[in-house]
Amino acid sequence: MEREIFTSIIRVEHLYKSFNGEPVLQDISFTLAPGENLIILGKSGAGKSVLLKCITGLLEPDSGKRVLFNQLLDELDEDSLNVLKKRIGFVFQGSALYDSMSLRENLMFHLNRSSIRFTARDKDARVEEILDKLGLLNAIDKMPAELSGGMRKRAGLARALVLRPEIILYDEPTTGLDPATSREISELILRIQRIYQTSSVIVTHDMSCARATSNRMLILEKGSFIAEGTYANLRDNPVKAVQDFFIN
Amino acid sequence: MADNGNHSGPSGKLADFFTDLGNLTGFTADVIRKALKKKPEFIEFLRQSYLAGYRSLPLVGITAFIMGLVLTLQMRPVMADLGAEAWLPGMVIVAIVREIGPVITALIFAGRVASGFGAELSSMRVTEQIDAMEVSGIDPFKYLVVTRVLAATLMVPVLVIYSDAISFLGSFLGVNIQDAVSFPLFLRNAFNSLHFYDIVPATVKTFLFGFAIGIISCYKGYYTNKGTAGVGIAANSSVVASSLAVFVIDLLVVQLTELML
Repeated sequence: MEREIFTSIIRVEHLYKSFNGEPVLQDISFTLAPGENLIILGKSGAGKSVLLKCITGLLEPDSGKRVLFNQLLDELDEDSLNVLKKRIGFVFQGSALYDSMSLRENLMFHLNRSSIRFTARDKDARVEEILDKLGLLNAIDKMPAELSGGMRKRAGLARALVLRPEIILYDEPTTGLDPATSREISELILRIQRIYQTSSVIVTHDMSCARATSNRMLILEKGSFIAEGTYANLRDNPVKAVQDFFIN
Repeated sequence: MADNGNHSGPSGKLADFFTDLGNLTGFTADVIRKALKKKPEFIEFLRQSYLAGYRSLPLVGITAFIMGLVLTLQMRPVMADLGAEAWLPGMVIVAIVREIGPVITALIFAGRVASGFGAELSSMRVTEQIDAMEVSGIDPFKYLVVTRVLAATLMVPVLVIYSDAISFLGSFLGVNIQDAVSFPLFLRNAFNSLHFYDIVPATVKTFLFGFAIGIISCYKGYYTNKGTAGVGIAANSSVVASSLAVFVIDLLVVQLTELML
């Protein structure tokens, strides 16, 4: 299937979100260009995960506009929204693998509910191909509880990739991993982007992951963006709140 | 997402109760709406029916057998004093079919299955598995909730019929401990006392028990919001609220039946 051409595949305008009157996101605006790796860098509690959940419709913002693939999210009915969601992959911080299913079943579960009809052979081939690319083919029949932390992250990514999404959203992809595995995941993110031509939004507080994977970075502080630029631009930014990320 | 309430003090508790009741009503309406939608999750429904129904057979069977036996042994002296021992099978069977069988089976189901539904769904919520479905364009409500509610609604009546049959065997043994009554005679005595209006309300209420247990436990699990502690709370409150609902429904159905007959 040919992909449509967009100038921006995600456009967020003046997004606000609060919980119990406490503002979490304030006047958030940004765009994601096709093929871009956008890093949203922020400390714990800055509102990064909430922002991702607002983009995907898991949370409803108080106000603001979310446009994905030129479609305004708020104008879509439930069925159209579900179709649109299948074009987005989401890699959760804790992987969120279905723990009553094996790794194969985790991927099959999403394939079986795709709007595209696959034959059983096609489904097997696709699952095996993705797991092979992510180095998980040997674990195909293992249950999530039997996987290591790094394998779980890769398994979460494999499941996000199974429907060949155009955008992948990563929520803290390297949190809780040792430096070597963390580096491995960062390399994998880049490799996946090359192979599947995806665009990515990666929220993290891990500067080494940000440096390794970013085309562009946004720094989120107390629910607002305080700086934007490439890694090199931001490293030279004199603002203290920005410098704190580089010093630490 | 439902507002689970977070108030303190007596008036706060009351507000929480009504908030919960309102949310539960909306939740029930969603279950019915989505159950009627096309493309049911039939395989998951069968799996849940197997887990909730088939896996409950041993526990329900043992309990029912003991229930039938003990009820017969307890009633025998009273019936003997009245010189009405011949009525014993009929009396036991009517008690089992009308009241004890449905209520005890529903309570066992609430203890075994509602706690499982509550714990499983809340654990999935806490570990973002429900979010993972939702974000991929899969309707978790239809897959997780509707299938479980339907399985509970259909499995409780089946288990009650099975429980009643096993109770008859227990009762037959109880009668034969002191008397020698053949099984055909026992059944004839028993079923002579049983009427159509004993069976219909008792059967209708088993569907309501199953529906209420499914709805309450799924609601408690699906909308948990207190992290891992919430898993324990959801499992516990699923059993407590479901068991209470069984008694309330029983009371209402008995009253309605009395009014109608």
